[in-house]
Amino acid sequence: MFRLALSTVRSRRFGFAGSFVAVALAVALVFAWFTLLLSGLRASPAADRFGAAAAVVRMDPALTVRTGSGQNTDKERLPLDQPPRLPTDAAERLRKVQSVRSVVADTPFYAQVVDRRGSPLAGPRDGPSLGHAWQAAALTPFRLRAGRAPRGPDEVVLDADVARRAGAGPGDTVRVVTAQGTRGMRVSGVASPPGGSGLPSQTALFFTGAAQERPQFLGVIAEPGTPPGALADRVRAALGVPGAQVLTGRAAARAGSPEVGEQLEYATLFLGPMGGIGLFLAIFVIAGTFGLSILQRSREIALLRAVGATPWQIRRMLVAEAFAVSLAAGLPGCLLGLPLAWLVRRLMVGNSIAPPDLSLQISPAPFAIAIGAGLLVTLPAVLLSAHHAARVRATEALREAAAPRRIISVPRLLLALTALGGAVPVHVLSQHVGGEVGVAFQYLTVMILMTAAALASPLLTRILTPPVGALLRAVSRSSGWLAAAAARADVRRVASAAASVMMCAALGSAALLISASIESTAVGQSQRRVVADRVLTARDAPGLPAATAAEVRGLPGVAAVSPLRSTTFVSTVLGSPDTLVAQGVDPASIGSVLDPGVRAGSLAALAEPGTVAVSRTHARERGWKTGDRVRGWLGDGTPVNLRIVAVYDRSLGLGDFLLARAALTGHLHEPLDDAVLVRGRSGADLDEALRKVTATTPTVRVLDAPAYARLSRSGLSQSTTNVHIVLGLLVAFSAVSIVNTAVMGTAERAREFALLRLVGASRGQVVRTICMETAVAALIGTLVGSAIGLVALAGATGALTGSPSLHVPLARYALVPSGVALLGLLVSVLPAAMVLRYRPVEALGRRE
Amino acid sequence: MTEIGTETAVRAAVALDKVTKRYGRGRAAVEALRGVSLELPAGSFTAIMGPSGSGKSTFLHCAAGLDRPTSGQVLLEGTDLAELREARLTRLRRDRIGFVFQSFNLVPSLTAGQNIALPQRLARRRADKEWTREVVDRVGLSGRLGHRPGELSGGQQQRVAIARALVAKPAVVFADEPTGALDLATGRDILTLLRAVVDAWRQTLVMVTHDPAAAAYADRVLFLADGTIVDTMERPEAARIADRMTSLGA
Repeated sequence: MFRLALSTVRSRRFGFAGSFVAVALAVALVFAWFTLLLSGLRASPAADRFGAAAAVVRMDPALTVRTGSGQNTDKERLPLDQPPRLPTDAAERLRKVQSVRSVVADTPFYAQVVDRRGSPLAGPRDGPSLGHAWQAAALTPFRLRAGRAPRGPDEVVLDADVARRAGAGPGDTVRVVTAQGTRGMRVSGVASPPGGSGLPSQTALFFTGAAQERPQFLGVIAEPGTPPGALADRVRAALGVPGAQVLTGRAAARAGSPEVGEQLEYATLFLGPMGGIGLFLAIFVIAGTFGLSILQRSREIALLRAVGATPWQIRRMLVAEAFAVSLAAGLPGCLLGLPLAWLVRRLMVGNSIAPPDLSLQISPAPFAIAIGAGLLVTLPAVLLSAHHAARVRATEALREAAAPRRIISVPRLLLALTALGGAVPVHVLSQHVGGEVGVAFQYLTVMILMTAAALASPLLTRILTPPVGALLRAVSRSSGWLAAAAARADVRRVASAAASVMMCAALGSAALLISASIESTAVGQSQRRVVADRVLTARDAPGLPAATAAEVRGLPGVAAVSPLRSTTFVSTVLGSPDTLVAQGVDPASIGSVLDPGVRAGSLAALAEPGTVAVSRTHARERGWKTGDRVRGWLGDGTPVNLRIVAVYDRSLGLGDFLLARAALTGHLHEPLDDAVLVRGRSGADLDEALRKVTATTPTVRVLDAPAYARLSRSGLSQSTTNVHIVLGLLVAFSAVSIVNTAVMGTAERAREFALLRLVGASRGQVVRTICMETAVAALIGTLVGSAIGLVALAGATGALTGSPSLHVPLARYALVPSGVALLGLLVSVLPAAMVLRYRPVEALGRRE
Repeated sequence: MTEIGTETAVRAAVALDKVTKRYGRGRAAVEALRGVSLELPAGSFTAIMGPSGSGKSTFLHCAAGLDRPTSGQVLLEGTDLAELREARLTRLRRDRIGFVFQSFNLVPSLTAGQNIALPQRLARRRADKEWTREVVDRVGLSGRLGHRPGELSGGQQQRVAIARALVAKPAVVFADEPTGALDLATGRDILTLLRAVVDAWRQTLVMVTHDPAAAAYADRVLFLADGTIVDTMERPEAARIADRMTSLGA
């Protein structure tokens, strides 16, 4: 059977080219995705801050939460906002270990240089600017290029990069901002790490050693020639601290540059949904292409049946052919995936989704996985199509055009209805959960509806063809009329083309509409929420020194001041622990500067210890009301049990929990605030008063309420850009497959088009007819796809605001029909060129 | 009764002047037609016969403007086809030339009625309903106009093709083995129909065939062999044609 399959493939090369392309594309997508994923997991920062240390010790930065009960206990790890620190005596214990030359403590803290013009200097690539004790310089190692080590509390050593940017050298004075405030300090020296003037993603400042404090990291410098593995084991044994980690190699490098690690994690997370949706699309594309090719060969299959082949023999033959094609497409697909992976990486780095430290690593695993995936996806796709084709009786198939066949088989219709039914509970659940989780659920709803639409596409096409056909006939009485007649006659072909467009349109409109609804809701909520006159935020810095709020309070003309400091709060969502955002505020004045839409209780009650306010969406999901108790963990892992004193509405962009700022004080490593909200007395000139604060702390930026709202919008637009990039890639993938099916479909009808030309249709009329035939499928696909997008929009707005709204941002949505139109044109050009290449007489005589 | 060929009674409907068609180059070149010259008067029914490889189809394609001869002239109602650009040739195919092939004549997604009206549609002209009805009656298709080609028999499909060719009132109808795929009885019906159309409406018809019985319906039979016309017969009987064919093939 396999040999027959091979020879069939060889003789019908052109027909199989379409399937080959489809499988190759799918393999390329899987390969690129997997390569990027592996590269992300294996990537390490370009420069190792702990390069000189053989091992690095730290406490586990994640919170471990036990879930379930009895037999089914499970452990979940959640990263902590404020990672715990090692005990003070740990360093002593480690110094006693064999072959350890020295143990150096490093506890980085926020420290930033302000240049002569008063602008704070951020780290390279917008990374952090951190201060260390001078001893910690030995860990990289940083070596002095000029000057000497710092001797007193007013001296600082800068890394060469920031020294150059600040235009400062040994002996100069610079202003340095820390969580404690701004100070003028004397530059005692300039240092640099090996191979550069500074670390690629951090700025380093060195001060004299701080007082005894619990260290964040302990770097172990070993005698030269010590095998690192054995040393790590000895250190681990000597440490005796539960929850401590001993890191070497890549793990140690990531620990030293956590900003890179975070970015890499973000990039890897970003790849997740892309892979999922991509695989989903790949299955559809391959199923559609194989389905079409089998449909085109129904005559041949009928002949085989008439000659005596059993349905199972036919199926085996079709499956063997499909395998042959998939196998052949495996390696070319992987090779195609290489430039694709490179392109996606470039896009991600260019849009700051991934750090440049993410370098492509080619390994054998993605090859095997991608080729395997191609084969695995082909099998069910072919079985589905082959099943029906093989069962058809010979005479039925030969007369296929005449006998009125059922548009859609009963099992297929039932499957479509099941999928449609399955979307309902998902939708209801998404509305119940609400918030951003509810919005994420909309993508699941969209995929389910897409499945239903693709399954029911013949029925949908049949229903929608008459009105669309009438529209085309009105546009052109010759080409439009021909296209409408062709659509009515061959519903199957139009349905398969429309299904591809449906998916593009559904994904595109869903993503555009969902992201638009998130943005507009967030901005709307933010605008209504902020009633302060002025908001102080940090410019190029991770936060404002906590003393800023007190300073503002003391200014003339100020009526109310509240700081805003966010931290993580681990609570349970849908039964499993998840990290949410909590904001620390001043209970007395928060009501004057923020209106989060309090539904029950009062925010002033937060002044009592052990209290919390919860967002309405989260409270609804957990079934909480005021007076109930909340169990969770703060940003540093401290378990808390708090009483709910208020429930509020507008949590998007703010957080699901509000606490008293004072309650967070012992649980933050550094006293920094994210923002300070100020309400002025009527008639007071706040800007004049606030100028003093800007002078004291150069990292302060004063905004009015609308500007602050715009800031939140720009934060969201990054995630919107990400969504658009993923979509763009996937739509491009669908587009190629649509062109593929179109070419396959047109090639078979070359004879029909040749006849039209012989009967007197001009070249232009033939091209217009092809374009209009594409337009039928495109219009049907866009209508159904947009309907799915609208469902997603209603779901998203309902989850975010509690009531679904169908307000469509037309400017954004317009991308969908214009994209489809462009696609339609491109799709028509290729087949049209093919068809017009031959002179009519030749085409008439050609075999398929 | 309406006549088709009255205006062109003076000129020959189709005229070929030393038409040569060569395929390929150099030593591998094949000459399908060698210096063929003839005139086909309006209102005549001409059959072109010859063994396979004699150049029959090439002759038809050149005479109908589907292919350009390597040298020589083809005149349709006095117009030199070589001077026409693609757009005008297309219009010619639509308005002045009719085609009937052996098979695959019809657009499968259109009904019989729509297929017949197709050239008018493409010309964006209103069809002459009286004339169309007359043609459909003559061809014997009334009542089958709503069916698609897949629902019609071979003979019925050929009738539709002939009706489509006639409705435009063309100068010439070219038929390439119109009865080749039909059984004897149906084939005879089609040929009788063609004969009747030529007689009643003075339609010029050029038919390529290898069947002596079919050629017997024509006014004149031209014999092609090796790219040249070797013989002509006026109003011959099938037996004489068959004899001549055998000697050609030898």
